[in-house]
Amino acid sequence: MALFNEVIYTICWNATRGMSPEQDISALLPVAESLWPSISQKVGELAAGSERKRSLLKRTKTLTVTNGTATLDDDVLTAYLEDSTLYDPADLTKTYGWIRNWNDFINPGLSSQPFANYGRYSVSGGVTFGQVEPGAVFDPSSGFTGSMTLNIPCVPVKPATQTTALDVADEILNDIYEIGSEMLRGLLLTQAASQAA
Amino acid sequence: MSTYNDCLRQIAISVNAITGATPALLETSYSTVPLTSANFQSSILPFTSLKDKMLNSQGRIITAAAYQGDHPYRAYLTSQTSALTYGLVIPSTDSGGANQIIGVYGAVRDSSTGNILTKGNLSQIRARVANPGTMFLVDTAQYAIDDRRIYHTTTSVVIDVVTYTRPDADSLTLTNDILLPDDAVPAIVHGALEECIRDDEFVAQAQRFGSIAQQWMTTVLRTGSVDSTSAVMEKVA
Repeated sequence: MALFNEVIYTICWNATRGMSPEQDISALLPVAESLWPSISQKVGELAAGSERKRSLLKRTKTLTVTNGTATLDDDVLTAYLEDSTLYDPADLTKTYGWIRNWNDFINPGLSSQPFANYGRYSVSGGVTFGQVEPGAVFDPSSGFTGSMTLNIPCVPVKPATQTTALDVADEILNDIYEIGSEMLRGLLLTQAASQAA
Repeated sequence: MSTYNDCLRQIAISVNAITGATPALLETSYSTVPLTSANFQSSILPFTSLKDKMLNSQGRIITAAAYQGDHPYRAYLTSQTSALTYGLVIPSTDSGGANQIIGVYGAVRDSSTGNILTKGNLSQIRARVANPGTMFLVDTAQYAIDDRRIYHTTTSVVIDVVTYTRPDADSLTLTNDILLPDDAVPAIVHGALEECIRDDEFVAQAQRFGSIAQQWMTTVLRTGSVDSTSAVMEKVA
């Protein structure tokens, strides 16, 4: 685990390799930090695109479900919901299956046998999470209300403080260093070239 | 450390201002510590005028060193400003309020940690301080000076500065140390003699001493070649 400021410093130092020792790291810190959303997204997409690395991005999210719907956090990679697992922390015997298509998800036919033993979940509009209990019909006015747990690939999230550890696996951390420093280095080399011209 | 007396007697004898009709009497006057007006005989350049010229010469070297950001002489005259928050006007005196700041500013340091800040871009610093949506978490240590105000990314800073208050010739204690190290004595002496002109007296001699003084000044100022953070940052900027 590395602290967030440690990660940003490492990105800056790596980006300036081979450059003048007079390169001011202090000036690069805010630049590297402002690149964080792009770095995070790129690392997340690359790792999620690899079947072997995807599981490294998985994080456990607690969803506050009201009448069968909840809002997903911004860091959730919704494109990889088929790799997610949903369960009720209050009843681990219940099982839930991912339904890609929202219309299929709300189809009352899936609430009867042979599917009635399974709950199901889907996402509408990229962020609105929907959940139906086993055997139940989707009803946005009287659905399940409670806390659910979703295990799903997520992009690395910027922590609340600079001295908080980044919540990523070490393999992903290496990707962050590499991609972050290359992004920053690209900016530096472009700047150097324009100054030389 | 060399004293003002060490400098003044060398200046005085070169303009024939010290009393002594014989070599023995001249030696007695020359070696008197401290010299007084009784040891002076010149009707062209009296006792206090020579002290003034000595102090002018010392001031000239101090000014030159003060305008060279990495000069080792700055250590003899260094002081700090009071703690300065973002956007404050840089004061003209040091933290004590009595000593006037001259020359280029030295290191800018965090007033609580002492860590040196590096010179940055004002717009970047302003964005870092504004920190919209708390988009910046990682601390940075940068400053920018625009006109007379300082802007920085920490709570408050102090600036290492050179201060100089010209000693008063009338009340100068000649046994006091000069404000510079010993190797500045020749430069002070020759610089003072460059000014020792009245009407058409000592003109040729002053030119000769001026030439020597210039060589000393060049030598003294060339010593300011040791790199420092502030100098590096100036070059980068």
